[in-house]
Parts: sequence; C-alpha cells; structure tokens
Amino acid sequence: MPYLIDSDVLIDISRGRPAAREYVDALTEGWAISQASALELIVGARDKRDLANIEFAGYPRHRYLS
Amino acid sequence: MAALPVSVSISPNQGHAFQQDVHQFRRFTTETSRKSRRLGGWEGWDESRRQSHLWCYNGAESPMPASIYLAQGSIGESMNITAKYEDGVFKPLEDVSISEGTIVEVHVPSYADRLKSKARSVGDFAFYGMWKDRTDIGDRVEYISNLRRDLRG
Repeated sequence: MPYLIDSDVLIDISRGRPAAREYVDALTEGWAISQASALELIVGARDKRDLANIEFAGYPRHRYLS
Repeated sequence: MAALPVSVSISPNQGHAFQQDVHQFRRFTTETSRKSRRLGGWEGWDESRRQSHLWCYNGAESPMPASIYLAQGSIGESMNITAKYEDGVFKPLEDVSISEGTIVEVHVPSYADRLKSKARSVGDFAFYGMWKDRTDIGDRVEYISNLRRDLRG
C-alpha cells in the first residue's frame, strides 16, 4: 500500500526543500497523491509549464488515489 | 507502458532440453583448452552436484557429454529477462538463448515489488524545486488552507 503524500509536503517538494525530498525518497512502500492534492497543485500553477511539471514526468495515473 | 521484469528460472533437469543448440557455452576443465579452468576435482561429487556446478565458455571443445552447457550462467541460475504479456503469452523483448520447448518458470513481481523497482528520487522530477522562486507562498500550511477555503467558495 503506497503512502499518501499530503499537499504541504508536495509544496515543500515543489520549493526544492531537501528535507522533503529525503523524507519522500525514504518511504519504503512507494507513494501516491490524492486527486484533491493534485487539484490544489494545479490551481496553484502559474503557467502551462507548471502544469506540465505537476504531471510528475508521466507518473502513472494509478498513483493518484481518489 | 513501463516494462515489467519477468524472472525466468531453468531447473537442472530442464537444462538438458537445450543442450543441443546452445550458441555460447563455456566449460571448466583444464584438459582441453588453456582458456579453461577447473574448479576442482569431481571425485566424490554426485552427478547432479557436478552438473550444477559446471560452467562452460564459448568455443571450448568438450571431451565430456554436452549435458551441462548453458547460454548464460550455470544450471540452476535464473535469468531476468524483460517480457511483454500479450494475447495470453509472455513474449521476450530481448534475445534469449534457450531451446525451443524449454519449460521455464515465470515470476511476476508483486505490485509492491514493482513500486520498489520503479523507485526514483522525487528530486528527479521537474516538479522538484519548480516553485522555489515563488514569494507568494509563505507558510505552506497557510497557503494550502487558504487555497482550500477559496476552492470551497
């Protein structure tokens, strides 16, 4: 069962915080984000480039938990 | 779609099935070639142990029955190949030097194993650090709270 990463951690990742990256990388069971968090990131996007980056480089859609 | 690694195992008995047409083989014995090595005397070894410990090398001439030659590794070792499951058949996506009809065991990793194998650092994503220059996000919790409040209307 993957871990669910909440929006505040995602914000830290988006801001390049090493502690957040290390925290997520250390998870042993993989991770996912909720559709609500994805929506929050999308709403915060400034442009299409941000939107493309939020797609997590083609991360499989099944890792978005509804 | 990401490739799913499939582990293929060939047991010692099944290894006999491809003894006739192995393309690359190596063998250990000092009697036939300077390229050969001998792991040790066979005295006291039973046949199954002897066969499972023999390795062969490409081009060696064998004075021994060709019953123990393998394309890759020794009998009993498994190979990891990439295969695609299609129309009820696992189709290898790379060359596999085993004989037609060889029976193999296919191990499909669990979902958890696949997640681990795909693991990559979140720092590799373009998402990482894309908002490091934003000044409109102060406290992240407050930012998220305001966003959720705004989204609710």
